[in-house]
Amino acid sequence: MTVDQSQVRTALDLLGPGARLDVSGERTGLLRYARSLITAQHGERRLRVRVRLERAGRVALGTLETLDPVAIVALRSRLNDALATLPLGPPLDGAAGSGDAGAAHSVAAADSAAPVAASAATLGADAADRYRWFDVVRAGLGPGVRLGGSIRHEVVDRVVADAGGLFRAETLTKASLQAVADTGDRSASVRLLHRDAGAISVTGVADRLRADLAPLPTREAFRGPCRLLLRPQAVITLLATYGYVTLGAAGYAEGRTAVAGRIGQPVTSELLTLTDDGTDPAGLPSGFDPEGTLRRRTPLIDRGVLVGVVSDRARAAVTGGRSTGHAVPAGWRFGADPSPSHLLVAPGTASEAEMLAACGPGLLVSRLDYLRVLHPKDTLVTGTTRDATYWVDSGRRIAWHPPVRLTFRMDEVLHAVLAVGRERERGEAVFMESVVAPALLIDAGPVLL
Amino acid sequence: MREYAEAALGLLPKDVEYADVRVVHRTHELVLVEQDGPGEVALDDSVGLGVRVMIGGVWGFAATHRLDGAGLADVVAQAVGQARAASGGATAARRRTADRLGPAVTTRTRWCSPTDVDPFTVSLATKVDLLAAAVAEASTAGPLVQRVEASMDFFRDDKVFANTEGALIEQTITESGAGLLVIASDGNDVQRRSYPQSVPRSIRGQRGDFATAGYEHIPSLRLPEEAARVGAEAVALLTAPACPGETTTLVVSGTQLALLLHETAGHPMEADRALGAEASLAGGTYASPERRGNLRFGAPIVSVVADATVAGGLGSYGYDDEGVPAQRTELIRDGVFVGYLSGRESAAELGETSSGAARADGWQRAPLVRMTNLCLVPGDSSLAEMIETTKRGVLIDMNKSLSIDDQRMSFRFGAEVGWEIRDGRLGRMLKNCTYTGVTPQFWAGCDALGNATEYRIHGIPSCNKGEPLQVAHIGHGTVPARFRDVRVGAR
Repeated sequence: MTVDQSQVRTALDLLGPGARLDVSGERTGLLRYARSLITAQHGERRLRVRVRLERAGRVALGTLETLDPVAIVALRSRLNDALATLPLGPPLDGAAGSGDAGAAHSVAAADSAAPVAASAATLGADAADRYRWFDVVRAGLGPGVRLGGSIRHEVVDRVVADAGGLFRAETLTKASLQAVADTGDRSASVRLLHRDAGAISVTGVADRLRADLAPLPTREAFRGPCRLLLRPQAVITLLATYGYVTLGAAGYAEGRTAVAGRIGQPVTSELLTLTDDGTDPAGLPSGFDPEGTLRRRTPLIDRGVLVGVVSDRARAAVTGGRSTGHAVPAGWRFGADPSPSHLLVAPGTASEAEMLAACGPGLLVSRLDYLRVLHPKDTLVTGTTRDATYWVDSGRRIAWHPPVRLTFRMDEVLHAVLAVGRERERGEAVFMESVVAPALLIDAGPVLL
Repeated sequence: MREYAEAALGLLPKDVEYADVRVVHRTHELVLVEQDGPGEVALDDSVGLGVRVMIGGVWGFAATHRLDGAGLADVVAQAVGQARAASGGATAARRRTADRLGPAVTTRTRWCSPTDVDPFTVSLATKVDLLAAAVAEASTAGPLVQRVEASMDFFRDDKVFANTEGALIEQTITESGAGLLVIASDGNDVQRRSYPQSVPRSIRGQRGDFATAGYEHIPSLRLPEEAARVGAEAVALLTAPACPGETTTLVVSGTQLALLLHETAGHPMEADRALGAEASLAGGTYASPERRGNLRFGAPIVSVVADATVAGGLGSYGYDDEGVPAQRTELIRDGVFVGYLSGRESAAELGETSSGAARADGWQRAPLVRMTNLCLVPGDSSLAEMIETTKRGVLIDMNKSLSIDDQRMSFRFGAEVGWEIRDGRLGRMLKNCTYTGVTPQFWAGCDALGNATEYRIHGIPSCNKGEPLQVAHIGHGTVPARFRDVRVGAR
């Protein structure tokens, strides 16, 4: 581990009561390519030290790139000045990082996380490995197909600790490969990610891309209602957006979300079961959130019925007085409210062939791009299809379809699920660590082309 | 910091064809006051070094927070190792460095952005008092006001750039901004209003309008003075009718036009994007090199420049992160696409010299082609005149959300608020206003632009691009504008 844990303990002592530290030592290696050429490489070593001081309902945050005691003391002085100046805030819920001795969360010893195993393959990956992956995919595609995308290896050593005795540490690894094959007038993409670089099957990527670049005619854009077959990566984007907008405890408590006040009521098709589980190896597991709360399985939607939302310490009251372990990092650019982090959609029973047969005529969407929320309470979003959009009929793809802009209510689309695929893929969003989802067949109606 | 840059350059092996080093110390202060919440102060301090090398025509880049001898040796070894690992595979364009990067950059200078009042010397109490006054004013709109947040952010970058061509540039850039967000709810609906500019994301802080300036920018924004109106409008939106679906005349405020210009004219005219480097990520562009000079972007009254020399613009600086001087570059002249934002490499590939728009987000990122201050040249109309001469239409203000396709053509934008225009006058307030279009057709319908007295540069510290992600601080010079035959509606 690159984070010196004794330095963390010293820093906590220096910061005093009410302090919490979220420290990460990060090593990132990245290879980017476009037009089958390498366009950029990136290596990064950094130490992020996020300090949170809370006293009497006042909160001050600081970040540094060092655990040097001199820098910590200087920051402490500035944060203390800030705390003395801020207006008095309302008491925060629960333990809320108060740091007082005996606080409810001071349970680290008895409540230890099952450690997430760091991948030796990812830990040891270097620029040569990334180049080798790139070369395998490029060679597999052959001439006439341009390859774009990126290959990334990440190692994050995390420590979350507070003045009340909490101390958790883990090492997380991640490897990812994104490949976009482009023939000029059509494109297809594959995204693979895993904690273990050794579990990524690079040799199959070119075959998958070539299969999706099948020479079919291009039809004109269809106008009107039609069924949609959303492939797993499109569903990952959809569900990540839906989860972020609707399934947090803060929005639920304040009535800002579409599902507010509806626990126990149907909110989607009964074919859908959605869980957040940071311990499930199907996703990208991690042991604890930025407040140090252990990740745990949190059922959200059970056969269409809302059964839960995710919370942090401040919103623990919404989830029975106990945080579900979904705090977000201090200063997170997607807000301060608790948010799902590891969504999993339960697999269904439908094969790809069965879903294709049930779709037609309809649109096969491989990827949703730039999906943005127009009205959070209504779950209204807009975005476009990207890479490998096909027209489907009689159980097979019969034509390429031009990319289309789709504007729809996510809750309506999720009510209109006709079938759930049995094969799932792993993905991520910039605001969610992992999403695991199968393909979904959506009935005509909620989306008008 | 200069000694770290020079030390890193001194560690480069002989097979490095070109290298540059950037040492950056970024300081950020956030002050946020909220209604019924704890508020927040955040003090961020980050210093580190990034080194970029080219070997065999292949780039390597590495960055570190460790500035001791071992840290510097490691970061140089990483960057060199990356380039060597890939340079044997003939996978990059095999051209001489001079052809690859264009004219050498050898400038040795120091530049500092002007400030009247150093924002880091203003007391926290002064900042909190101003924000608390704004929150209190916004809260007077009544019990349907659910959340009010007022915030200020200050940034300072002290940075050193040095390269193997002999350049050594030291810069200090100070930025200040503030904003207000009001969310109202009646249990059935949720609406928001922002002032003086919106950011389409949920981050706490980094909202509002920013400038490359000192604390003097903050009182000029008049947060407390405008807060009651902003709060009242958020509440009024709850009972306002939804924007009807129709094809009509659209009048767009300057704040809304900033994001529209950003997405439809700014990103598409980034040279790296036009050359395909971003195709797998952010996408491509309609503004391909062969279309330069002959693609009609919009009506002849539409001209756009990228200008990093504008005083106070959030995209203003002395030199970009490749050491190229800040410049003014024409992108659209009389409605025709004519130019690109570029860095050294993309400019050389296009056969021209860099427009000085290669910018990096801190020490830990390599420079990318980014917007600077994207400025629409004012026209001769005014917002009042546009409304007076519109029989039926919609006026919209303040961006709420946006989506655009990967070629920057098909888009849909959402605005926080709209008003009917009927027979030359503003009518009812409208909520959930969205409009959709296809870039060249939409801009072809532009028949009026506000005049120079309505011109304002809106600074937004949140333009995302690249992998790993980089967030750029950029300006948008806009005026109100009118567009004919636009599809509007609530969904």
